[in-house]
Amino acid sequence: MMGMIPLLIIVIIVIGILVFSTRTRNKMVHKKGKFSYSQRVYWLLSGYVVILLICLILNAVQPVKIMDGLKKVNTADLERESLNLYDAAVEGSINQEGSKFLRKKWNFNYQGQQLNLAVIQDENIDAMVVVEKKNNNDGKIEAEFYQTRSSYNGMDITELANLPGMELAGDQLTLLNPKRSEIKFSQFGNTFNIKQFTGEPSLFSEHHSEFSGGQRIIYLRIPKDLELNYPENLNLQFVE
Amino acid sequence: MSLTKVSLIDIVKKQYVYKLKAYSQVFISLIFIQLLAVFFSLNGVGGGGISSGSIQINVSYFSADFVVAFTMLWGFITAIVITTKTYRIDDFIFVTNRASSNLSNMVFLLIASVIGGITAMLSTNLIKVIVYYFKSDFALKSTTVMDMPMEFLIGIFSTILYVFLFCALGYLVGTLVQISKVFAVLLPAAFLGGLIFDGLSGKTGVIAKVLGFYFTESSLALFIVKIIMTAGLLFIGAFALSNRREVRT
Amino acid sequence: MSVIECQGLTKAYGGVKALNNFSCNIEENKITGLIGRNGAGKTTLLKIIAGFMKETSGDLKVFSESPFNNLTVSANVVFIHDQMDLPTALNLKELLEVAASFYQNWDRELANRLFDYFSLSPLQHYEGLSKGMKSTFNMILGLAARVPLTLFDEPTSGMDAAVRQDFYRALLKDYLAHPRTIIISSHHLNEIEDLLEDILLMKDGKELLHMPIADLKEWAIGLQGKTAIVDEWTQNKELIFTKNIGPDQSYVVVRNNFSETEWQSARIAGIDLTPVSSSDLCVYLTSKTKGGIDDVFNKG
Repeated sequence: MMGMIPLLIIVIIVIGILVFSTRTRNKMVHKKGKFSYSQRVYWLLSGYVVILLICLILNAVQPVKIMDGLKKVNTADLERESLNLYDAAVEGSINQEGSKFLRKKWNFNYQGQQLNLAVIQDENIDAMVVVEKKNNNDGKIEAEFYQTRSSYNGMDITELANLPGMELAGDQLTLLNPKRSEIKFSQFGNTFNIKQFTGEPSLFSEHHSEFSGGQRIIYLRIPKDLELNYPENLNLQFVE
Repeated sequence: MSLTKVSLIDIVKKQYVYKLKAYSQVFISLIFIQLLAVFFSLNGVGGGGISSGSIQINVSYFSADFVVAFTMLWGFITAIVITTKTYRIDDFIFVTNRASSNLSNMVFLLIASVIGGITAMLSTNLIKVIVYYFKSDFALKSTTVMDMPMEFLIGIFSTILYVFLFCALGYLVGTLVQISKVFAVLLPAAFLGGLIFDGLSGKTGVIAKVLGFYFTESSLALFIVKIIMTAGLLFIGAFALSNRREVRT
Repeated sequence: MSVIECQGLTKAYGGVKALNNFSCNIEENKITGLIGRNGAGKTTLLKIIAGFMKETSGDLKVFSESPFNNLTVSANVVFIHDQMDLPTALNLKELLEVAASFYQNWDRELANRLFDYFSLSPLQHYEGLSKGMKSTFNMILGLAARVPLTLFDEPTSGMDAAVRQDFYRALLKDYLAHPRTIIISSHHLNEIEDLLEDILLMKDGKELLHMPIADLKEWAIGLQGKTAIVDEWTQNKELIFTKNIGPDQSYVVVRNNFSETEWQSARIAGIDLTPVSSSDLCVYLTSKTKGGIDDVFNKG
């Protein structure tokens, strides 16, 4: 019941405007001109229709740039990719099998005996960390970020996500979450009087949407004898 | 001087041509009201968001529902307006009787409904263009006229019928109000009262049932029959009520 | 042939009878003046004839048909009145075009020539016109429609004297070229007197007189002289109007049914016999009292 009040107010405003606009017709009419009032009205109306038709054509012939800007993907493929990458990572074969998902690389020189892996306070890293111990002590930390494709409603949105960061300071390697990326989608529905006949769900019912986040892995290769300390809540795994 | 004979059909034709000029300002209100509805629609009729890790997805749903609804309201008001004295006596300056006056009003309202219905459906495109180019990063599944010409035609056709139904309702309401100003208070009070009563009782009330009769009809054929029958009855009611009305200037 | 026949026509608004048992016949192709005071029922009568309103009781035939809600009557009658409210969205030129589409005998040339003569502008709008200009435009509609029955209700209201004269002349010329039935209601009987063939005098919703205007001039006579003598002469006469003018002097109007010899002897008795003008007579006939406004002041 309460939800109807704003609607009711809008309706009253609209009625007010309509009634007002018919009452004031005399003033509008009095403008002198070469053309009669009704001619001017129909020109205005024609102009309005022309604008609407131009919009129709714009939508009909030039939607490519906007609507097909994102590649279509199959969600099932993404699921498989995601699992495969995980398996490859924990088996230490990410080099070969995950190469096409490599998004970013870091290299640090590090001679210390201990390394503290840290995240910014109160933050969770939105990725899984997999650590591989190298066979030797070359004093180098190699970090890689892998990400499989993610999708929203069957559209590839991988490229829209920002990448995480990493900073080495002293004996602390801080993992930085990527800058939050916000994507605005707009969805157009038919009006209620079309849905009525096509059997589409009505305006206020649930909208179906499908989101697949993809697998994100931060892969660290560290020297053989480096001792790694990390917070307990970090999702971290060593290569077996 | 010999008498001229005229036919009803002929006079009705002349009258609606005359009315298309004399009542032309109703189309100014149409444009105004539809643009207002487009403006309201730009906020979207609903929305949702998903956030996963660092990705925040916001989805806004858009439709021209507002435009269609406002156009129906416009039809209703327009019909009431043309039953008022200022408009009614416009007929009596020239050749007329009550039947021709009512019939030509009906034809005028039909033409107005067609114009209103087509522009309301087309305005979806205006909303799309504004949202695509100015408001949103990406647009989701959306049909264009090219993909779904049938849906577009059904949309235009059903909007025209809805607007015409509301015109018929407005015409009857306007006629009643012209007969007695009591109806100007009584009818809105009955409508609001019914709405409040329905709301309080929590059940599907009379008003909801009446609306459901049209708005949930999923068969286009039955819908057409329902609308035409109802509009027909409403107009017949208005014609019968106004047929003995006097013109006092 | 009668264009309008009405018998016992009554029209009541609420409890007030604007027309009370009114009867008359209007002949074809005559110009009739409808004369009466405000509230006598002239406009009501014309509206019923035009089919705008329905009689409460009685019988009315226009072209042998009941005019209410009658398309044939509407197509053959034009009703021009000073309350006309033409659609605001149309300019004057468009209004003439619309009128031309409705009336089959519309005289486009006459309309345009009158339009130019009275310096109306095609792009003007009706409600922007002055009262007199509105009346002028209405008059053009009424004349150019050229229908068998033309009703003018106070057609000259707001017009200045020169335009009124033009209007009467235009009306007469067009009538002579295309004879038709015309009814004019007006306050200015003296102005339209020369135009009229018949006069229909109304009072309190009833017909008072309906006769050729020529007969009206002979219908009554004024007597002026010493009160005593005038009273004596008018004793058995139908008194229409009395007025005291100065001490012991009276002016009395009575029905003129004096014989030639009575005329002679009245003159000898010292009475001035004068004809009564039609417009004065109408004023006398339609006034509430025999003494007119003087009665109000002479009560004490």
